[in-house]
Formats: sequence, structure tokens, C-alpha cells
Amino acid sequence: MHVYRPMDSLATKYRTLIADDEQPARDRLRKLLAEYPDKIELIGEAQNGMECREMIRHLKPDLLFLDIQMPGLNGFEVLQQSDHSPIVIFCTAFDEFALKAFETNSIDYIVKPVKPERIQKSIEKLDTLKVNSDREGLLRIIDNYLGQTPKKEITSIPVKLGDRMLFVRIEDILYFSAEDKYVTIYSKEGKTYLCNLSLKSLEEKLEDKFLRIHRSLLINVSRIKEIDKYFGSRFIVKIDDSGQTKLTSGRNYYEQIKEIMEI
Amino acid sequence: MVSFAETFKIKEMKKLLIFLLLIGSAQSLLAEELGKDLQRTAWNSIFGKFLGETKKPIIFRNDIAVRLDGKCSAVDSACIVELIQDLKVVIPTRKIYFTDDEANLIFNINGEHHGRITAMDATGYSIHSTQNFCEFQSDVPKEVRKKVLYYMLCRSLVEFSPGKSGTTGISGCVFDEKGPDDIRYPNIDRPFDSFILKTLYADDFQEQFKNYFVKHASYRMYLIQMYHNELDNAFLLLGLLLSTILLSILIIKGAFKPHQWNWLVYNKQGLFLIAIGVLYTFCLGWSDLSFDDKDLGNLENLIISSLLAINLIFFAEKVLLKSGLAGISKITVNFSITLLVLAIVSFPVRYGWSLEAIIYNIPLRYNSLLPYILSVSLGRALYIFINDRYKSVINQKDVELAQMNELQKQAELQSLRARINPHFLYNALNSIASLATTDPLKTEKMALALSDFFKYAINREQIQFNSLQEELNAIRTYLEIEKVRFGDRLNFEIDCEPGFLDIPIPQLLIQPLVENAIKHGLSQITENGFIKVSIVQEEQKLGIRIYDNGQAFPEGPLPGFGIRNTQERIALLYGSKASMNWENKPEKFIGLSLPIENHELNQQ
Repeated sequence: MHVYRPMDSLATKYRTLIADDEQPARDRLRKLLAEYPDKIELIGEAQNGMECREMIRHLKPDLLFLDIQMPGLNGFEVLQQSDHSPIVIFCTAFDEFALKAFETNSIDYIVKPVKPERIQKSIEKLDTLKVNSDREGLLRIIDNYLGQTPKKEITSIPVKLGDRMLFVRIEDILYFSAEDKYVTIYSKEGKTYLCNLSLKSLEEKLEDKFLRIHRSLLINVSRIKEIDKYFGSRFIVKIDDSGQTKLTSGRNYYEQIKEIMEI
Repeated sequence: MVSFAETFKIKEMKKLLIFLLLIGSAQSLLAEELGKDLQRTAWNSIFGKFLGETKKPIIFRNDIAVRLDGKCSAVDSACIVELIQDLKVVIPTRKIYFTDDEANLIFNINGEHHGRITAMDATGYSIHSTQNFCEFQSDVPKEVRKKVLYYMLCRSLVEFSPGKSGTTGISGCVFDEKGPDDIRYPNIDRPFDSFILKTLYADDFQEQFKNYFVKHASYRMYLIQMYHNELDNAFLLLGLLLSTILLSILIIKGAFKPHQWNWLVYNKQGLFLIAIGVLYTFCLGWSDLSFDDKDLGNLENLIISSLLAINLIFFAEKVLLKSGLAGISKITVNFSITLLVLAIVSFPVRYGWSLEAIIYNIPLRYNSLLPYILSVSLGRALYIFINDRYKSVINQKDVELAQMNELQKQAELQSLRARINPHFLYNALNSIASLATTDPLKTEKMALALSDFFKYAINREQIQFNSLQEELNAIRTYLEIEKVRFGDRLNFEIDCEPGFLDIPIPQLLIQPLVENAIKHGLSQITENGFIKVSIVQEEQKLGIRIYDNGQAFPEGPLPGFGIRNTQERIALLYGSKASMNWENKPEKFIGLSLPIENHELNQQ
């Protein structure tokens, strides 16, 4: 933790904090900001999220150059956990979704590698707009962004087979069946794998591709061949596999299946 | 109580009595008293002599007008009138009369020649007209004249069926003798003659015939007698059909797969064919439902000869074809050998193993056998030809398929290849930019390292494999670049036994795992990160392990394609010989286990 003593307490200077986990990135930013001694007063550099949160609390900076990807807490989490809200300029490597969020909400950001002109522009903007930090607005945008970011697509499920590990492709899975404590994976090759995950957690993570049709059955929607009505508010689901598997849905899942399959 | 001997005597007595009675009533043409045995004989005669293909006797189907021509005397006329009177009783179903006018049964007693001319109509079983020629010396007595006329009359009334030559077994019967001199007239057989005539001219002859057969033999025998030809044809057809179906099934089921000169396999296939042959022979024999020892002997000969034939063919072809003859010359050899062997072996099938019989029958045999032997040889050659063609087409398709699979595999491998994350480049360049003004030496080193790494990673020649040493060098360069970014947070170590350095490794197989260890492991901790790449021998395999002390591997579904691609890549390249594994405890690592070729192990 580096804390600089204020050299001059001129009100026009921005008491500035840099937060980045990479030493060269901090070095570069510090050097570039040194070009504006009358505007920027560097009061500290944080090497990770936790450190940054502590420094915001203690130093209450006016301006924060914040890297998003940091160990411990990331940039967004730091802001969510801080009471004090400085003006924030995000510094980040290319991130399509984050940049889109910043652009549409006029939040200032700098893309690495940092160019001197870009720093100059940001500092000029500080002067002309005299942007007051809108903490509520920023948090809302962050929430919004985190909610919108597409979760990275689930592509496989690791399965232990003795001392080797197999990554069963999601698209090759016909359905999961819960038996006792274990969940059995039925693959399109007719193989079965045991895994010790719960059907509930699988359902949450695979919600857009898989459908729960029974207390103990979670099936791959793209592998459904046919759904027929059955007595007692149930369905017979035919799976598109070589064995022509037929699964019977549970009564409690009638409405869900009806809704999703648009029957 | 009557003893058996007495019973027998009584039976004999009865027979004798009937016999005497028959003699007594010999003058009568009525045949009601004909005994059972004689009836059977009569029926057998009817069947044997008078029923041809049509199963109808050749008789007058219309009224019978009898006329005497030539130098006929009043005695002759009187004889004919008497005979017609008798005949009217025997054949009540026809109007029989003596006339001077139009007639269809004419006796021409002109003495010019002897014999009978019969005209039949188109049906083949209806006599249109008959003319008899004979000569009487003037001193011939009436009894003799009547006997000759009786003979001619009886023989005119029914013609033998073409090709039928059975005898009645009753000596003196008018239908057995070649001329009137041999018949006994009048004698006890006249009721026999009459019975035959009466029966043949009966309106319900077919019915009687059937009843007699059903009663004395069986309905089956009746059918066999009636439809012998049809049955012959049906069983021939059945035999052909069954054999064809069986053969087809065997071919479809792959019973005749290439035998690769395996004697047992070849003989098994041969036995299938022989079994079909036996089945066919049985079908032919079934038509008259009488398999006797001769048939069985034939069958035995057939089986032994066939076995001999297939083995002769086997060894002859083995000698001639194993050298790899192909195409038309191969088929020619197949054809010639089959022809030759069948020509030799076919004799014992018919004549047993008697050399004499064989030599005696050679000319006869070849006439009847040659078409059969030729067609079998041609059929076999054709089958082999089609089979060979089919096989070569399949082979070609297999080769094409293998080529396509290889291409597809290459394309898949291409798509699974690791690509360098652009963030890495941005971050590295950011580091260079910040170093440039403060540390020119370090900047230079960094820029060169970056250049080295990309040279390796871009892989312009699309090399699939590099030596382990090259891959490890690239990893070291990569880690050094990352160390500039992370500083003390990243420490690393690469351990490899020197013997392994030449082992070929899929290009950029290990680097993505190291990158993952930094991205998901180390970048999440704040200090003293440690990565160790370790190459060791695990039994007969190359064990590659990447240890780090960062965040643990997650449980449950995995996002992203990095690790999944790595697994699919090693599966494509090594099949099930390669495997992947990870552990979080006691030490966190991700590992690959790859097969090593033996000679590479030996080099150590």
C-alpha cells in the first residue's frame, strides 16, 4: 500500500487513487498522470480489490482509476462495498460488454494499453463537466451490467472416471436422472456417467437448455423427439436416441412442460 | 370251436366253390361274380393299360354302329349279331347295333390284309371310327370265326394308352394277347374281359376308379395316381424354390464369405451347398413317395462325390490361385477347375464306384451331364466374379471413407487448436509501453520474448507436433511475459527429465492449461502465486502436470471451450490411450497422460 502525502491542498486538485493488480499498468498510469501535477494529486495505489476498498474508506479520494479484473474483489465489487463514491474512470483490457455499458451511460473508461492522449481527454472532461459522482446511478449501472452479462455458456460437465476425468459435452447429454444420492448422466452414445451434483444445481445452471419434467428427471430440450399426453396430468416424453427412450413426467411439472413446449 | 386249420379249409373250400361257379357261368358275359382278387387285377390292368395322361380311357364316346364289309358270310353276320347281343348287356351305356348303312365299327373280311385302323378325334380319348381287316377260309368253323371276331370287337372297343404296356396277368385275356389265336374263347376270363369293358364304358367310370382306389389303397394313393405328373412338377418346383430360398438366405447371411484358404471354413460352406443338393434330391424323390435303397445309395454317392469335388476344387485352386491371380484369369481358372472336377466326380453319383460301369457309361453320361456341369461351373464363376467385383468396390469405398475421415479429423483438429487470447497481447503491450521509458533493457527483452512466443504460436507451417522442448520453451517465454505483468505474484518452475525433451507433443497443447492456471487460479490471489509445470514418466505414459496454488477448480458444469477442446484434441489424436485429470487436493493440479512410443522410451 503506497500512500502519498498531500503536497498541496489546493481545492482544484483531484485527490487520485489508482487500483490495478499489475505493477507495469500502475507504473504506466502513474507516469502518465504525472504530466498533470496541477490537476492530479496521487494519494495512493492499490494492488488488489481489498486494498482498494480499504484505501477508499481511509483516504476518501476524489478520483479513482479502477481496473475491473483484480484478485480478491473486482472493480465493481469494490464500488458496491464502498460508502464513499469518488469519480470513477475504469481502466480495463478489452471487454465488449463492459465497454458497451460504459458508453451508453457516459461513464468514462480507458482501454489498455493506455495512451497519453486518452488520459488527457479524460482529465479535460473532468474540468469541463465537473462531473459529480452519481453513486446511485453508477451502482445501478453496475447491477444492470452484471445482470445482463451473458453468463459464459456451459459447455461440458466434468465426470471422474477412476483417475481420469471426462468432460461430457452438454449437447451430447440426453437427460439427467437422480437416483438416491447420485445423478446419472445419459449420453447419446448410450453411455451413462455418475456425478455427485444435485439435480437442482444442474437445473439452475442449465436452465435454458434443459427442462425438469420430474422430481428426478432433467432432460435436454434439444433431444426431445415427441411429447404425448398421458393420463393423470402427465406426459410421455420420447427422447431422440437409438433406444427410443420414453420418460414419464411428474404431475407437478404439468404446467411447466405445457408452457415451455407450447402444447 | 372251429380250429384255425378248419377255418383255413373252409376259406379254401369257398374259393374253390366260387371258382367252380365261375366256370359254370362262363358262358355269361355278366361280371357281377368277379372275385375280389380278379377285380383288383382288372383295376390294375385298367390303370396300367388304358389310362394315359388324360386319365380317361380311349373308347367310343358315341353310339356304336357295326357293319360287316367284304366277303362276309351269313355265319359271320350271325356271329356279330350274337356278339352284339352279349355286348349290349356288358355296355348298357351305348346304343350298339348292327347295320348295313353308316357305321363307325367296321369289320372288313376281304382277306387283303390284317389289322385295325383306328381314327380318333381331337380330344385323344374318343374313338371316331375303327376298321378291322381279316380273312376267313371258307372251311373255318363258326366257333373260330366268332372267337376272331370277339377278339377284334373287344380290341376295337378300347385302345391302349400310348406308352402303356402293362399286362393283366390273366392268361388268355383278350387284352393281353397279340392275336386272336392265343385267347381262350369262351373261357373263364370272359367275365374278366367283360368287367374291364363294362367298367371302362360306365358313365361313372371316374367315380368308380376313385372309389376303388380310395377303398383299396388310400385317397393319397388315388391322388398320386391321378396327378403323378402334376406332383412330379410340383415337387420339382418345390425343390427348386426351397433350394433357391435356402441358397439366397445363406448368401445374404454371409455364409459364403471369403474363406481365405481356410480348409475348415471352405468345407463348411461346401457342406451348406451339399445340404441344399440333398434337400433338392429329396424333393424329387417325394413325388412318388417311395424312397428305396437305390435312392439312398444315390444320395450317399452324391454326398461323397460332392465332398470329394469341393476338396479337389479347394486344393487345385489353392495351388493355382494363391499366388495372387486376379480378374479374368482368376475367373477362368475357377471355371476350368470346377468343370474338370465335376466332370470327373459326377460319375460315381450315378454309377457308384465301379470303374467298369463308369467306362461303359461315359458317352451316355456326358450327353446328359454336360449341360448340368457347364451351368454349375458357369454359375460358380459368375458368383465369384460378382463377389470379387463387389469386394473391390467395397474396398475402394473403404479407402475413400478412410480418406474422408482423415480429412474430417484434420479439420476438427484444426478447429480445436489453441488460439492465443488477444487480452494477453493487449496486456503484454501495455507492459511494454510502461517499461519503455524506464527500463529499455527489460523492454527489449519483453518485446523479443513476445515475438518469440507469437512466432511459435502462429505456427505458419501448420505443424501439428513439436518437440516437448519447443513447447516448454514457448511456455517459459509465455510465463516470463506474464511475470512482467504480475511481478512477485507469479513465480514459476518448469521441470522435465532431459530424456523426454525430444518427444513430439501436439502444438500448443500444454500452454492453454498454463494460461488457465494463471487466468482462473493465480489472478484471483493477491500474492505469492506459484505455477509448476512438471513432466514425468507415469508407467508407460508421459505425465504432464500443471500445479498452481490459486483458486480451486470448480465443481459442476464448466463454461467455455478451453479444457473441453484440449480433451477432444487428445481424444482425436491418441484415442483412449490419452487421458486428462485434475485434482484440488492435496495439491491443485491439472494433468495430461499421453502415450509414448516405445522407441522413444528406449532412447533414454
